[in-house]
Amino acid sequence: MIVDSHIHWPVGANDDPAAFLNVLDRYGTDRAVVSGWEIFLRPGSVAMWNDRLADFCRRSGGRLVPLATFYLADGEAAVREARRSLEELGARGFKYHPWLQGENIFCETMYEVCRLAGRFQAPILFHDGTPVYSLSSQIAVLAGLFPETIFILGHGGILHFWEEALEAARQYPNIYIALCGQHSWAMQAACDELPAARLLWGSDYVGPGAEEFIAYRRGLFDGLELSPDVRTAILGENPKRLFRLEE
Amino acid sequence: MLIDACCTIDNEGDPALSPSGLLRVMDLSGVDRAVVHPPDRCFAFENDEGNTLTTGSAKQHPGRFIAAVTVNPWRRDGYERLQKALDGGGRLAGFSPGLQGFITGCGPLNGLLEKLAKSHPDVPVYIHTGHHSHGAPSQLFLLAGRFPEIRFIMGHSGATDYATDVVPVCRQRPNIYVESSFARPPGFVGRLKAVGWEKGIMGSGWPLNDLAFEWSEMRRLLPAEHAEKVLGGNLAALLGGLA
Repeated sequence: MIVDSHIHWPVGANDDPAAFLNVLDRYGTDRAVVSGWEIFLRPGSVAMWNDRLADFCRRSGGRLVPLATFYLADGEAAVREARRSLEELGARGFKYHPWLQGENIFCETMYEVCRLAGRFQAPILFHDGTPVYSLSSQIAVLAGLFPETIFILGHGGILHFWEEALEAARQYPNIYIALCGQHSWAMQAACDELPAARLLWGSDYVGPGAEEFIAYRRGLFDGLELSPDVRTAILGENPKRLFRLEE
Repeated sequence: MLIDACCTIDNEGDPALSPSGLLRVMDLSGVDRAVVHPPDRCFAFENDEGNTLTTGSAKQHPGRFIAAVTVNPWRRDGYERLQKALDGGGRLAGFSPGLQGFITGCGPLNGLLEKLAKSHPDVPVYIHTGHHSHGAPSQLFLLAGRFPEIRFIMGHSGATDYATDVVPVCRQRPNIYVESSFARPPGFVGRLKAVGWEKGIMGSGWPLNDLAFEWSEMRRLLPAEHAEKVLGGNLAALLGGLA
C-alpha cells in the first residue's frame, strides 16, 4: 500500500474527490492523508474549511482522511475547533503551517492543542525548515514540552535545516519525519539514522498543475537504498498506524 | 554539450565525493562536463585548499571539469586570493553568503566585485541562494543592480522558500541567470517559461542530489526545443565557449 502522508488539495477550487483520486491513481497512490490548501492562504472561517475538507474526504470511498487545522489567534475557540475536528469531523490529526499561517507557536493556545492532540493520539504535522516560526528545532521544543504528543516534521528541515531535523528526531522519540522536500542525501540520512517506524513519505502536492511534483518526489524516494521492509513501513505501515487508516 | 553547473567535490571523507566518483556518475548519465565547486568548509575558511582542489581537478580532467573558485570576502587579501585562483584556472567565482557570513548586496563582497569587474569582466559570478537570511534572490537583485556589467548565476534559484521571488527578480535584471539545483525540475521548468529559456542553467546539486535522477527528470520535463540551451548551451555561452 502506498500512502501519501503530506499532500494538499484545494477543496474550494474543486470539491469533487474523484478529481483528486484520479491524480492519486495516476501515480499509484492508494490512500492519502489530506491537508487543505486555501485555509492556509485566506482563512475565512476555519470551521468552514475544516468542514469542507472533512466532507470531501468522506466522499472518497475511504481512501482519504483529513487533517484539520486551527488558528492560534482564535485562542480558546481554536482549541474548541481542534476538538470538534477530531470528535465530529473524523480528522486524524492536524496540519499546522506556522509560516503561512503567520503565528508564533509558543503560546498557551498551541500548548492546549498539543495536550488535546496527545489525549486523542492525533499527530500534528508541521511545516518545518523555515524561520522564524517553523524551524525543526522549534518543533522539538514543543516535543519536549509534550512527550505524549506526536509531532511530524513535514519536511524534515527541507534543504537547510535537515541536520537540525535529524537531531530533533534523535532526541525526541515523539518526533516523526516526513520524507518530503529534502534532497536525496538528507532523505537517505534520515532512513539510515532514525528508526524506520518514525518515517513517512509525502509529495506535498498542492493541487491541479503540480502533478509532476508527485512523480519527482516518488522518484527521489524510489532511489533511496532501503530494505523492502523499511520501504513498506514508510509508504504504508507507518501512516496506517499513525493515522488509524483502518478505522 | 551537456554541462552540470553544480557539483561539489571533496578530497576528504566520503570517497563518493571524489572527482573520480563524479566522473563515474556523469558518464552513466551522459553528462559531458561539470562545474566543480569547493566543499562547504572551503567556502567558509580553507579557501585556497578548495580552489586548488577544483582547479587541479579541472587540469587533471581537461574537457570534463570546469573549476569554480571562491574566497571569503571578509579576508583582507580576498581579492588577491581570488585573482590567483582565477589565474590558476578558475572559470567562475562562487560565493555562499550563508557559509561566508555576509549579506549579498551589502558589505564586503561589493569591494571585491568592484575589482573583479575590472580585472576579470568575463568571469560569471555564482551566488548561492536559498538560505533564509543570507540567500534571498532579492539580495542578489540589489547586487546585480549595482554591478550591471557582471553576469550573475542565481545558484539554486532561491530554493526552497524564495521560489516565488525568482521571476520578478529576473524580469528586472537581465544580468541574472538561474541555476536549477535543489529547485526541483518541475518548479524550475515552470519558472523558466517566465524568466526566459536563455537564462536557464541545469545543475544537479550532486552529491546531495542524485545526479542521474535529476538529469533524467530535467530531460523529461524540458521542452525539446529549449533543452540544448538549458542543459549546457546557456552556460557554455556564458563562459565564452568551451574548447
